[in-house]
Amino acid sequence: MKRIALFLIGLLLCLIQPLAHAEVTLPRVIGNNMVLQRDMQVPVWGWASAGEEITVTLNTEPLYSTTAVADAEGNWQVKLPAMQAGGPYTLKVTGENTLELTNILFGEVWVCSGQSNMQWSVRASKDSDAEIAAGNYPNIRLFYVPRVPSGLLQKDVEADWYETTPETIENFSAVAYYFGRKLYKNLDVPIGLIHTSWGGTRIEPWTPPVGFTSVSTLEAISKEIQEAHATYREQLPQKMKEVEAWIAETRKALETGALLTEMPENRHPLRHQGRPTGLYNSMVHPLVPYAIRGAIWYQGESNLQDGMLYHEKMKALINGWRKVWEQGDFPFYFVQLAPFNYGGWVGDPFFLPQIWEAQTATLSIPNTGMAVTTDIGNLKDIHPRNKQEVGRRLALWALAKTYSREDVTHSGPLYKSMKVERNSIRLAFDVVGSGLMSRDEEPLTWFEIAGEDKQFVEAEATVDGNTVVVSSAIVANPVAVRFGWHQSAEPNFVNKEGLPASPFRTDSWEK
Amino acid sequence: MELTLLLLIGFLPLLIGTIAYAEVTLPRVFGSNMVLQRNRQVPIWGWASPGEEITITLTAEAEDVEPVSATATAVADADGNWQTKLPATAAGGPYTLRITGGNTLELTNVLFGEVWVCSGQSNMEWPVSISNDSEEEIAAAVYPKVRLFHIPRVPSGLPQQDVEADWYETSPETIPNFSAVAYYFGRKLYKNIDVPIGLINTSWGGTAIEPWTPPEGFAGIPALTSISKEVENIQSNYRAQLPEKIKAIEVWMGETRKALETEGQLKPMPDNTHPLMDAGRPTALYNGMVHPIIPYAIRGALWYQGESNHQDGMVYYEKMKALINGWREVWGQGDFPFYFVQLAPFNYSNQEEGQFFLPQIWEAQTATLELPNTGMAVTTDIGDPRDVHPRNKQEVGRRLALWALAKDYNGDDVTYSGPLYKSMAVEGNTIRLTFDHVGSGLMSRDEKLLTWFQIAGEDRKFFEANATIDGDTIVVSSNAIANPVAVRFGWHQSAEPNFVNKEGLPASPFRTDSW
Repeated sequence: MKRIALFLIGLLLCLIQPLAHAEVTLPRVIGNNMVLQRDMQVPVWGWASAGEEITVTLNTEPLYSTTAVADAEGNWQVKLPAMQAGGPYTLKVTGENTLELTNILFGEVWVCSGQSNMQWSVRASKDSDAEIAAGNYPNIRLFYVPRVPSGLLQKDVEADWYETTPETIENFSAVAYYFGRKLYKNLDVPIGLIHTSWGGTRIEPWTPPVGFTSVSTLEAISKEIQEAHATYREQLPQKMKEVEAWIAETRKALETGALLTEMPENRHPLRHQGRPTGLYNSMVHPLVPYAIRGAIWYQGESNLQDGMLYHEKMKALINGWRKVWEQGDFPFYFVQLAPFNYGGWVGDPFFLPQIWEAQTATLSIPNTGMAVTTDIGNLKDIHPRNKQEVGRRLALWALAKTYSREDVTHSGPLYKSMKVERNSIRLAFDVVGSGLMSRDEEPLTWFEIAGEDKQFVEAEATVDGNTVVVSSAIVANPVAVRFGWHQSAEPNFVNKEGLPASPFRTDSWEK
Repeated sequence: MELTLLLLIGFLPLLIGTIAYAEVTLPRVFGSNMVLQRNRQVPIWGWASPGEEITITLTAEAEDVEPVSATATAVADADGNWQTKLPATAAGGPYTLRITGGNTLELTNVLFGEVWVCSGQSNMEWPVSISNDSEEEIAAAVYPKVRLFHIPRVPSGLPQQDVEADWYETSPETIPNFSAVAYYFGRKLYKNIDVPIGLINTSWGGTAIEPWTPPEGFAGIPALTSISKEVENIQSNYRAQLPEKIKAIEVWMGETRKALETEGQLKPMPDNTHPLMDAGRPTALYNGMVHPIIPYAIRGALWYQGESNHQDGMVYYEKMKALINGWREVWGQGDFPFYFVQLAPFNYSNQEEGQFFLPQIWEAQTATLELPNTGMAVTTDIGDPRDVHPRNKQEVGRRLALWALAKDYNGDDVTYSGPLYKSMAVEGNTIRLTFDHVGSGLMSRDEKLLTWFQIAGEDRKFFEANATIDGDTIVVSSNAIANPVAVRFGWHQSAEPNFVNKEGLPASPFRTDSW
């Protein structure tokens, strides 16, 4: 009996020991070469043994040092004070062991997310050879989150920060890079780009649960998530039994050299890049609460048939990210999808205009912006190659709105209001910039007009000061105008800064 | 100490008890509606409790079915595995197969006939529903004696024991999503030899050849030592890391049990994904999609793959050897027939150099014919240079069937291949080429001059050449070449030459040089 007791005590000690000596660790997003957000307090967090005291030191002059104590779960967090742009600095994290992170800069940090057009690499975009060769920006730092789905919240990602070089930029997001490069050239401060995207994904996987619960029209999705978690929880005891049996069998096989078998599956029903929250859990949550300036977003192709529901989903995403990040209504700038001949099963050429409308409606959320791309798409290619201009247009929003550059015109014309003037309709716009024009000096294209019968006909449209006057000889009493209302519309209406007007309609008719 | 002993003794029956009442089970490839290979001993295997005695009986389901009195027995080994063999049985059925241990399993509507494994990438996977004449073909697909077994796509780092599939009779409901090449091959056999046909489709679009190859295959090929080593290293690392992984999983189970009790937040289970569990990694599809059906008795295998290896050049030949040798070794059925499709012309690349990747794969595929009991269906005339998935799968299946009919079913009178280059002789300013498989004679399929012949002198600069048929040979020349030394035929990714034999089967592209 004594021997058993001793054995048990020994066993307990074995179990306790590793915990007591658990090393201080950091999430990978806090690493060498990182850019930390300037001008705001910056959370630094990690894990250690419960109760372990952690000291975080930044080699400023004089040294800045702060401490935290790991909680019962081993979590700890400190905040660095607001710093001006600059560096490089070294950050020391000391508990039982010491971690030293070097070549750290303070600057502007942006999260860049979406589907294939955000993931699209510099290598596969326009002028790739020249752009890659010129990709030497040691103060633009890149963090590329790998594509991993998860049903449950993950704590970390497998990635590292890199300086921009021809080697590191080649496979990085072209839109993110060209956005960051434009900011860097205009602001002359270090730029950190966190790229987390996955081709072919819908918006729902990127949204945290709290985003869905904040939008009442998406209750069904919230419910679906809850049910998936409940099912997983219910099945866990059984799954764990299977895993235990596998462990016993595997231990035996390891001893005898017998053939191994695969571990029984224990897949969470949401662990898929197609399921709601499936990518938020593993590709966004591990980054939270890393201090950021804002986010850019290029997605929607996979939600093409959602219509105005996409606006609700954008609300859920933006609300959700802002809630979990606890940094207030940080800037969120997105790309309006480019014209493309969605064919085959999609069929309806008006799905895309409705997504454009949903994206435009999203501008009603504070601190959002939209880069219109009707002039730089490719009707035959859902992945237009000119990512330089997409990145530049997103940067215009950031420069004008986030960095208060009053000389920057950030958008093309956005429809504001209409007025019927006998047989014509006069349209007013926001963001006329230095004036309205046709980018090819031809008459304005893709304007349509309709009377009460809702039959739209091609219309004449002329610029009149800061307005556009639309009419058609065959519509005597017009009531509505549509502009660029077709998936293959590439209209020529721009402001004098060359930024295209967003497609719109003044009506809200079914067809 | 006594207490411990008592505890242990108390425990033992519990452990043994569960195992002792384990039911006899079978891999799913043994199921109702299956076709078993005729005319040879057929392994039947499964699982039971250690020491359990298994009896297998075969009985005719109808009076007009040839009665057989086949019985076989086995005893499950210490790990619960058992295997026995049914005696060789002639084509026919339906039969009922009863497997009796503690419980009895009954498989009905079982036929004996010809079983073929059909594997590869998208062109093998390509279903009837999106191939030529799909509507008519689906409506006409009433072949209750052609049976289909479609293995789902599962990669695995370790050999799997079973797949999730069932056998079905061919009907307009079951055929639309089945492999068109496999079906048209099987249908042609069925019509010609009039015995039941079993088709096992195990394919996955976009996959390279390496995932389909067992470790045994790589081990035998010196040129592939690096792959063999890689697989070995990964397996031994996986094994070495397992105890650590298991500990992490046990910690997670502790945390999770607590979280379940306290309604706390769940943490994701620690990852224990095998590094080879990916459709792109060597052996992964062999483990998940081929190993589970071995040693199911088969007549042979079909293979339509190579697009994903199209830049491999002659290394693809080494990889084909690894695949074929590997499958033959693990199946333990000797050098069973292995017939493959030569890739169709397709514009893979618009780079100058890239346009010759495909001819090199054709060359590697042709070289594979050196292996015993292999055959190749040439498809240069039924491709589509703008579509890597040509829709005419009927003809692909038929051409594969020609090989089987000629080689495996006594079809001595069948011409089963187009002309294959044999030898050349320089005759003044011309080169004379001889061929195997001239069939009833050589010709141009469109009655125009023979196309896609090129000729070169010592300077290795190829020129378009005149080629004329002279009996069973072809004479090639060019005014630009006074002293020719080499000929190339169809040596371009988009070549669709017109040189055929009178049976309409196209000649394989080739080159006489090895520059």
